[in-house]
Amino acid sequence: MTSELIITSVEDLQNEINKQVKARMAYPGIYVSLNKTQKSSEDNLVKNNIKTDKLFFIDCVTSEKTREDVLHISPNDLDKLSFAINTFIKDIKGKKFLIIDALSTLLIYNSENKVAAFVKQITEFTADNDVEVIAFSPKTKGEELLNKIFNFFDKVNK
Amino acid sequence: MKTKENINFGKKSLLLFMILILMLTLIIFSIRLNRNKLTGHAIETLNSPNQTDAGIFNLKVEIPESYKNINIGKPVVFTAKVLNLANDKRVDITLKYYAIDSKDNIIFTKSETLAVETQASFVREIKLSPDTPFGDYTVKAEIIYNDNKEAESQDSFKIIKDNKSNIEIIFIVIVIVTIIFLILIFSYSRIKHFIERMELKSKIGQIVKKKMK
Repeated sequence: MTSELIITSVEDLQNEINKQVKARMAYPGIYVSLNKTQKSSEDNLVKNNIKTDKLFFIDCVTSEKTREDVLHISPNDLDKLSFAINTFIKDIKGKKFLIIDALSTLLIYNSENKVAAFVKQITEFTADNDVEVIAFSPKTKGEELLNKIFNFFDKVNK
Repeated sequence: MKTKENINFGKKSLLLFMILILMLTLIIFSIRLNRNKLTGHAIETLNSPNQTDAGIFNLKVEIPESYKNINIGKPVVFTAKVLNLANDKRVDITLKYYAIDSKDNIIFTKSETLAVETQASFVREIKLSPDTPFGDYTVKAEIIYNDNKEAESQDSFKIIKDNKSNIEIIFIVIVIVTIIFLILIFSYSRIKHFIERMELKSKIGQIVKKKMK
């Protein structure tokens, strides 16, 4: 399994996410939503005929609980976020993937070093558990962070 | 002249006689006084609740005030004062002493042979079992001489709750509670973190189980 960092323009970000999720629709995935609410992210996917029934959403934008099957975690609690991702990975059997939309948003709430440590922890754990990771980041945001985390990914797609 | 001399002799004889009677009176009074001193002690002995004499010996058992109320497991100390009223020679007596509870059960007994000439005083210690319950107790002693009980005496004491031990226990409990409290304060965030993680894990487990059906 591979880990990939996709750096794209803000305009193309959603299309790129749709494309990546659609390619993996057949198996379950964990969707960490840092840019939009779970509802907004899911609506975007559904509009593009992407099935979301196998997606496990972690909503880091709103704390308002709307659905039982959605986790709401504050973006400044990276330990909890990391724990939740790892727990999902352990609990979901078989092939699975992880979408992080978008990494650079974490910089608003945490220091670069903390975010870098979080990314390292996630990529190591996913590599150990054969989980495909696709992380997104808009081109204009957090360039210094991107320089710090490049090496944690198998592929960087600019 | 002879008559005058005779009169003077008669006066001198009368004076001498009177002096003699006075001296005799003093001697008798002195002897009586000494006898009364001894008898007085015996009377005091008889009148005192913790001493009796039945014959040639007098015995007084006394527990010092500091041993009147003892803590559980602590020894009781008493003094036994023996008076040989016969007061003629050194004799061997048997001093037998007991500790008796309020129901007249003997919980301790010991006897020993002691030499007494005129009077003697002995300090003895009774070590009671740590299991001895709280309550009123009596130390009773007897003098056995020529197989006869010649005198007996007793005094009482109490076994009370060990206040010092209670204070120590309270202190230990306070220290332990404080330590536990401090541990809880310092580990509160860890415990809270652990509980949160367990709740999150359980929730994720339920979500995955529900969706993957």
